[in-house]
Amino acid sequence: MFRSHLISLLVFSGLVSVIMAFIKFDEKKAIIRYAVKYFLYMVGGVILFSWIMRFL
Amino acid sequence: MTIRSKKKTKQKKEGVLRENIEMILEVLVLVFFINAFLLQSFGIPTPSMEDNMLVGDHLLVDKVAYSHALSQIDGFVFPQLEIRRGMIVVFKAPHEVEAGNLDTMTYVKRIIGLPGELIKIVESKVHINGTPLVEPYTFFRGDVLVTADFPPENAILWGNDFPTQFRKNLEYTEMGMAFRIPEGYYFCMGDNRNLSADSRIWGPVPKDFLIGKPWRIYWSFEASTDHFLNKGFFKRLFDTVVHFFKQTRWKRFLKKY
Amino acid sequence: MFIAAWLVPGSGHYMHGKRVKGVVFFSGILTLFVLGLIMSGGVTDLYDTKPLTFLGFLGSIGSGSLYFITKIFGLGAGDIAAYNYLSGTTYIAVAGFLNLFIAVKAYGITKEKKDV
Repeated sequence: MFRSHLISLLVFSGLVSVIMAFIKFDEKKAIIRYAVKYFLYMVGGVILFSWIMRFL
Repeated sequence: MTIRSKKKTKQKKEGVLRENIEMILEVLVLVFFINAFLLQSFGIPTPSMEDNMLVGDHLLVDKVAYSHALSQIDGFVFPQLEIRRGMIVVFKAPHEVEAGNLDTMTYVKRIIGLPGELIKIVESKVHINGTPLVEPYTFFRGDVLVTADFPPENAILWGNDFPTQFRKNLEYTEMGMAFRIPEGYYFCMGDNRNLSADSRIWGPVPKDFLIGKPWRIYWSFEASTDHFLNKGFFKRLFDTVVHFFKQTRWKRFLKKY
Repeated sequence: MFIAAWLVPGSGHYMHGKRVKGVVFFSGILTLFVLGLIMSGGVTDLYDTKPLTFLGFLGSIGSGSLYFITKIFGLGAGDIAAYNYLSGTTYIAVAGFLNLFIAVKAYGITKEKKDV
């Protein structure tokens, strides 16, 4: 299952973001906004830093 | 202090304690996340890669560089590296995995033979498909623990850890019997050929066992193999703290591979 | 409250009337844990004194009853030969850390209600 590192990363980040958003907020809008932000930070951070590592 | 204000102070302290615990747990989530998906820490305990990697070098391993070996999708998003001869890789050693040794299964060696190639080593000289390899990175330090020739001439000379199913992957060449590296496997060797237990002893490495590529050294501490492999954790920690400034190799900080 | 919330993920919030949160936490933690097992990840036991082992154990046991159910049925040994053994083990450990986080939050809600 999940031979792709990327898919594993997306699933993991999705689950963790949703859980963290529900932990920290009560309102629906705030939860969605935080979950999306957290998800993008996690996935985007890994992708961005992997490219930085390549060129540094 | 009144009873009410004492109670409030206690509540405040408990609240701060809870917040600190929550923060620690969130940090742990992120640390495990980074360790699994981006960078893993690895220490070199033996001299098998000297003088390019020293005992006590602590590396950060790029987990993403070779992920396309398992799935092509990754190539669209992550910067991928073609797995080539001469590259240093971090991987799970097949014989350690077989024995269930979780703590000692991670090795770092250099890729010498690619899938499908014929490899023969004569008096420590590596030949790939009949052509001698130029290897500027090799050293021959210490007492010889590993045979200078591969594959062994005599069937009884195969190491116990060399997979039985691959012992017949031999083909006759002008130079004698050579070993055909199976498809999907890599032949990995340490740079310090005298002291490296590698594919010559425990066989080729399947591509599924590749973990990543060493990126940079974040800390290098001069100590013996015994310090890293045989000392208990607290003794090792104490010795490291006491000798931290004297034995840290500051010049190797952030050295790139 | 903390023990109950730790043992059954999301139960603390559910008992406080935050039913949606309780269900989300339960399904999220369970999904992470089960995916980790499917990916051949392992539940870490406290077999030595290294800090990483301790943290792995904390993560594993943080999942509460999921950890004990796994042990009772002999699951969670993991397969270190599997290509995503480390990812799977991370899923399991993070499920535990998140469950502990949720349990501490539920305990916090209990304390706040008591203090009021």
